[in-house]
Amino acid sequence: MKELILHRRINRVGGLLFNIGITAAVLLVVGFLSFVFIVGIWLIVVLLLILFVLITLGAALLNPEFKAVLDSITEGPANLVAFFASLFRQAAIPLCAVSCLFLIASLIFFFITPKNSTKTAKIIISFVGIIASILFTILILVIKPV
Amino acid sequence: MNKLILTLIPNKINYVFSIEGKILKFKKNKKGLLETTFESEKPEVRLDVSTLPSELVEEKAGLYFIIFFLFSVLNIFNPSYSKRDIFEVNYSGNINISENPNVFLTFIRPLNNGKALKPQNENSAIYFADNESNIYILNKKAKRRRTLVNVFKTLTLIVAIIALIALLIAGLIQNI
Repeated sequence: MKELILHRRINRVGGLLFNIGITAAVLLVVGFLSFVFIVGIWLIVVLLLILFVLITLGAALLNPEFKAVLDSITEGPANLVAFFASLFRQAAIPLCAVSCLFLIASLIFFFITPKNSTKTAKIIISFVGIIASILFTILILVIKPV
Repeated sequence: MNKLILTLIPNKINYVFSIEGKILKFKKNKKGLLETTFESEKPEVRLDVSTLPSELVEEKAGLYFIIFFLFSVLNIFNPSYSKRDIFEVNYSGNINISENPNVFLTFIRPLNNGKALKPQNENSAIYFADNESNIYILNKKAKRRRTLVNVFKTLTLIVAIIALIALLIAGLIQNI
């Protein structure tokens, strides 16, 4: 009975470490993808705005004041990407360290406990998480945002 | 020597099977089912089945909860406390093993005062004594604590998400 209670507690510690590690790994992946997706979303918004303006104002494109507004809108994605790029560049290495350390610790806990219905799945996800965090940290640091 | 083969469908319930006070250890067979054997000179043996009490009501539950609460950043990363653990089973019954039976059992989904163990075939139903102790009993204290923990976890998550969005917007405003 006591042995079972101990195994359940070890499972909880493993689960806790796994949750922290996998959250850090997901943040790294999301961080890298935000470089690309923010530009995509911004482009759609700008294109819809341009379409609306073209339909309603028509020849207003020739107006110099309107041209200035259009220029300020198209500067948006550059600022946003720069913000996310700097944010994730600063956070990439600490996030990668947290992710790898916590996932390795959770793997140790999962290996020493015999009974756990989700044990195999969590072990596989932990391995994938470690590889993904290292890969996406390198990508965030090396690749320049679009 | 009389022999009993006890087979169980794998499940997530934290059970303890014992015969004549001896705890049984199950092993997975080729079909993926949990199996154990018990041998005795006696023609009839006593089978006891119990479940582990919920983590929220076990000994030193408060201390362990505080430790996990702090290490999991206000419970955000703490794995949820399972609903099935708030139900308890304390089954006790006799099994005639003089004919070396193979008893195949499964745990039914927990419901308050609902049946806990169900024989999987007609042969098992003959040997398994389905008496009044074969029920799930709801531990009200565990249920109350689990509800409290879940409500607090949801509130903490909402506050954390709002704080994160606010920080992100503040950063964006400063940057643009």
